[in-house]
Amino acid sequence: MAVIFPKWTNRVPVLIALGAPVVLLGVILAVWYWFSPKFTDVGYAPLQPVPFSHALHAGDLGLDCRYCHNTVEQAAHAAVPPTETCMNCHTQVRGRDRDVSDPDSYSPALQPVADAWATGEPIRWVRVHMLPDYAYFDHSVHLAAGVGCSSCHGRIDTMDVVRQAEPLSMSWCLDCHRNPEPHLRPRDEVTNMAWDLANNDYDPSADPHRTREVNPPQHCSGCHR
Amino acid sequence: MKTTKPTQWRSLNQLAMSQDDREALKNEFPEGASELHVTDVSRRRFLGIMGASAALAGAGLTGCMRKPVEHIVPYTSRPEDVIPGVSRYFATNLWTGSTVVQALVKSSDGRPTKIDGNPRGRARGASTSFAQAEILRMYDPDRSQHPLRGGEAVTWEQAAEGVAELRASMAASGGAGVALLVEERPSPSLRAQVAAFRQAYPQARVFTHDDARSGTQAAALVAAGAAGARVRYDVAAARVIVSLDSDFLHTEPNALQNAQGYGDGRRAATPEDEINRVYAIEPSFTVSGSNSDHHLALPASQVGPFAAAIAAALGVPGVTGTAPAGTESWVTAIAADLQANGGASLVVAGDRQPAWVHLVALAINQQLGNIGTTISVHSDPDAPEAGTLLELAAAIEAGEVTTLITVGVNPVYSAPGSVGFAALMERLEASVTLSFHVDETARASSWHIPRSHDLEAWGDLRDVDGRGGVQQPLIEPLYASLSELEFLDRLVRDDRRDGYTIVRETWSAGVPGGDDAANWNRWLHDGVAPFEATPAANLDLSGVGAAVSAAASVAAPTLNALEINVQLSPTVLDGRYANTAWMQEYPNPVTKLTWDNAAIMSAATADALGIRWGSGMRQGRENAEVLTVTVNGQSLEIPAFVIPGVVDNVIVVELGYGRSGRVAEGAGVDVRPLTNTEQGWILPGATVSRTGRRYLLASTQDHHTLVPNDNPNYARPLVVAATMDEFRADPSFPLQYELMPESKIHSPWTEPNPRGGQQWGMTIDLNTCIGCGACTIACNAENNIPVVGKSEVLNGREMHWIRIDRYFTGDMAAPEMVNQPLGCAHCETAPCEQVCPVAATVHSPDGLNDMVYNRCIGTRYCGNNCPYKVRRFNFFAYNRYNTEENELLRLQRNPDVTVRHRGVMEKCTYCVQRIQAAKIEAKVNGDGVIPDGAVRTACQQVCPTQAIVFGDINDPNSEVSRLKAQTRNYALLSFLNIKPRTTYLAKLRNPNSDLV
Repeated sequence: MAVIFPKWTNRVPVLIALGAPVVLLGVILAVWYWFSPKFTDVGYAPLQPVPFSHALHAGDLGLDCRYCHNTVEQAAHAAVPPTETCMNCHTQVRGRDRDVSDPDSYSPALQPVADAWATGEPIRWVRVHMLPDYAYFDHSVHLAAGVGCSSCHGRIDTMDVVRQAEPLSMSWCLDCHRNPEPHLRPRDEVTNMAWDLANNDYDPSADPHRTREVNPPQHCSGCHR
Repeated sequence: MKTTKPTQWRSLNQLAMSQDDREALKNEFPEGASELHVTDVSRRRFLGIMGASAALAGAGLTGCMRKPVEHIVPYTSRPEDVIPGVSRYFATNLWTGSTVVQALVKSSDGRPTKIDGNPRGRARGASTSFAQAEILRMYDPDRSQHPLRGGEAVTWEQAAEGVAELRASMAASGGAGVALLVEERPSPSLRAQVAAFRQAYPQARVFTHDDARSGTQAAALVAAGAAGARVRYDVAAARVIVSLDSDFLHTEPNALQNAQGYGDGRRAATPEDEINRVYAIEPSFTVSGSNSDHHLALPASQVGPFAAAIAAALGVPGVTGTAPAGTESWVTAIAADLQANGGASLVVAGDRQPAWVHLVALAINQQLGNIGTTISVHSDPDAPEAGTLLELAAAIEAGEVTTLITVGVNPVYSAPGSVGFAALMERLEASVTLSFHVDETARASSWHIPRSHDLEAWGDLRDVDGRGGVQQPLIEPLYASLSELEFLDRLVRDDRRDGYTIVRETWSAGVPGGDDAANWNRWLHDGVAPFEATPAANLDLSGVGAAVSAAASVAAPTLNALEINVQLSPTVLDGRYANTAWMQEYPNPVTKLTWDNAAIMSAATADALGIRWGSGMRQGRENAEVLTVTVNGQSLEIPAFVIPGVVDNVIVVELGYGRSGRVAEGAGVDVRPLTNTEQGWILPGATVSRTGRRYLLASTQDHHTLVPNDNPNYARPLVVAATMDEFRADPSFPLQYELMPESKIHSPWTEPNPRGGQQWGMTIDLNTCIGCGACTIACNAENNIPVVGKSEVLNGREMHWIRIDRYFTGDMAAPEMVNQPLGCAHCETAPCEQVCPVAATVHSPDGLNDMVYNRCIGTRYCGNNCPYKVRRFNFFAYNRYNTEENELLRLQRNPDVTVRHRGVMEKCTYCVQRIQAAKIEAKVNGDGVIPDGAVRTACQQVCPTQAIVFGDINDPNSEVSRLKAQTRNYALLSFLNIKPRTTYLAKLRNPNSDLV
């Protein structure tokens, strides 16, 4: 009978049989990483309406996190401070590159803050660390357990623009919830960004200041309500 | 009630089931309902399949579309005690259902989201279903938003000019020809405003009215020489209670106090405890009647003669009376029981009964020495001297009143039909109505001013028994509106004072110590004021014999001369909640009807009239026959509905339907036109004809039926009950209904049995549960439960997480009715958890069955496996449809609970958001252990009789552990070995051995 296919087509099934799993594996690995929060969320550093620098305020000036985010020990949200908190200092600190001849002037970076204070129109910050609405996270209980700010938010005190340092995915949260001890620090060091989690001899179970064992929820309703 | 082989059945349909029906019963949903087709889209707009698509989140982009942009918008200047995301609680006092409810309202980020009872108040933190519904009523999208003149919207400046003109003309004439019709509200500030109005316009006349009352009790008190007095009951002090056609536990005034007292008198921990005994004489079951130990179904017209017979038997001076045929043994037994408990007994007459019956009830109480113990008649010295609504109607008719100012009353809707108030209003030269909705009266008025809701306005309440305090607003009025205080102020003065100023003035002047700011702050904070009860009024009941003799005797109804008995609706009351979706969908505690009212009658009457009823086990699709009901020349069309327990030849109808609004439109029929001033709510001589048309009624009575096996006449009752004698003989009587004794139940595998730490459990005391359904509404409010609309209820898809199952038991001709609240029982070995393919429902280490919405893919296998049928599936995006109908609903939603989308299962979570909040609080401020009583589930918190108790079963001293240790404790369907954490305390009956 007539020859329909050229000889080289004999190799096609073999190539498919060998190549398809490789391609599939590649796709799976690609999705596994590039579609995971480790890639899509870590490094997210949106532009903010006001170029507020944590490196300057929390780092150089040494302001404690809780000076501005003052609800973090009592509430679920570590609230972004109201404009009034900024004006505690910035009624007087008007910025280096302002028009010195005008006593009421502000530097261009601080002008939006001054305008917000004057008009009462709040500043629309862009949210960086976003959890889905069905995940209810509570800051206060984490601070009470001794989880430091930098454990989840990274070295904010070195960031000019806040970027998300950790994936904040559920598996990442569970990694700590299943084994919290290595991630805990003394409760008075929670805002100490420089505290070295890796090299220290802190043992939470031996800490006399702790009144209870840390028992983070691993069940669904711990966070999903 | 006998304990051997009792039967409990959901409806007459279930009792008459064929084999096909039995098969149909095994389906959770009626045929075709679990498929994705929609039957009737047009009727209910909630089912907007063509709903708007999902909105894009946030407009700003940061270069590449990696994720939507969310903004954080903080305050410019945050108020001192505000923490974003943390709810605050404010005490206030609310007037709902003619009851003072001392409330604690949760305010989430500045908007009220949940009403609960004030723990400092006399109700110990409980409230009612009506109080729960008020929060949704505030966010009603159909509430009035603009002043109207002649039906056209005008600006507030124009309205102010109109009011100023009215003020000027009243000042000129001294108020001649002007009538002020104001709601009956025991508010000191309102009364002060009315007094100021009177003083400014001496020629004006003042009338008061309560839309939800018939006025017969007030008329009786006038006849007894105690005009303006108020009757209050102390039900807890009563050992024997006789209800003469009174739904005193649910729709009558002060139902909250009555229910609380009933619960206190009913609770029994051990067989040695004594519980009260309730006799109910009424034409059909009411919530109160369902909790009676003896229920006598009598037409409402015969209740009066029955009462007179009891009075005569007790020797009340001057009263003679013969008992209606067949009730003599009842009269004798009840009279003897009352006599034996003089001073600790209580006879209450309901609002449907004419004034003379109220006199008889008062006379019986007086004869027994109950006045001052179980019943008090308080004077109300501060009440304004005012005429009644009927006197106003007569005055308008006579031309004496030409200008009518209406505040908080809806006479066009609530006046008896024979008054023809709408026509009367057309005779007026001018009329101004202050109301929350553009209601029937506002539409008939020349001017309408929007009224603020009680949650938005300052006010105060002071009941004659001393209950009350300041009413403070939780939010600025959503739309520009005036409270009743502010409006009345503007009728008298031109300085536009706000409610706060008016209330402070009243309190400084009228309450001892009220001018001291420290006192004011404390009372405002606590929500409770140090009011004392008003002095008792003197009752002159010497004329009761004459009243009895003079009363027109009404013949018992026959098939050719039926009797219509009108009553308030246990869901929408007098109609004020007709546009509140929760209350339309809340199954009527007795008929289980939603979204409609019906002509309720007995099976015998329906059969005799040739009405075809009962649609087999179609599970809620009652294809009812539409009847034309005619009485005294008035007719209307209304569908028929048959339930057990209705006396023959009587048709019971409910008020509150046939109104307008996006929720109320098309729901039911307004039966008020049938009523008249002479006969009130009891209308003999009615005839009925069949129109031949059919109308679908959505009843939930056959929904989610628990059928443990193939036999609907399940010999083992789901509601276990026993008489007190049986309880004393065998304190562990629930054990006899166990299909298998616990010792014989073995599991083939090792069961995970979390036992460490705190384990949550719940008990529901069926003895104190009155079946009012407040738990259902509270759960709706707390957990963002959507309303699905009538067509979906017809498909069995109502979304209530806790429902009240109602069963009838005993002889079909004279059944008993029992109630059983049922939410997710959080079984330790839950059948739902075993079958979820994606582990969306799992067990928490503290005993909760967790529902994880984000994992759920909508297989519905869990719902199939649940033996209690407590899982609810979002067949459509009900929550989104609800928001599309009502944008304001977003403000009411609880931010601590996920709002579910289409395709996910949901169910009772034991208020896990409250448990977690308490856990977090305990971890942050304590040792991580939640103290007993720190977590109260929404259903537990609202229950007026405190029938639901939740807590840590691992703590032997917690209240729930003590209740579970009681011998009456049993689990539903225990033989399934699923070990539910919610167990029940069996119901107790306290029958009179002389009346069995």
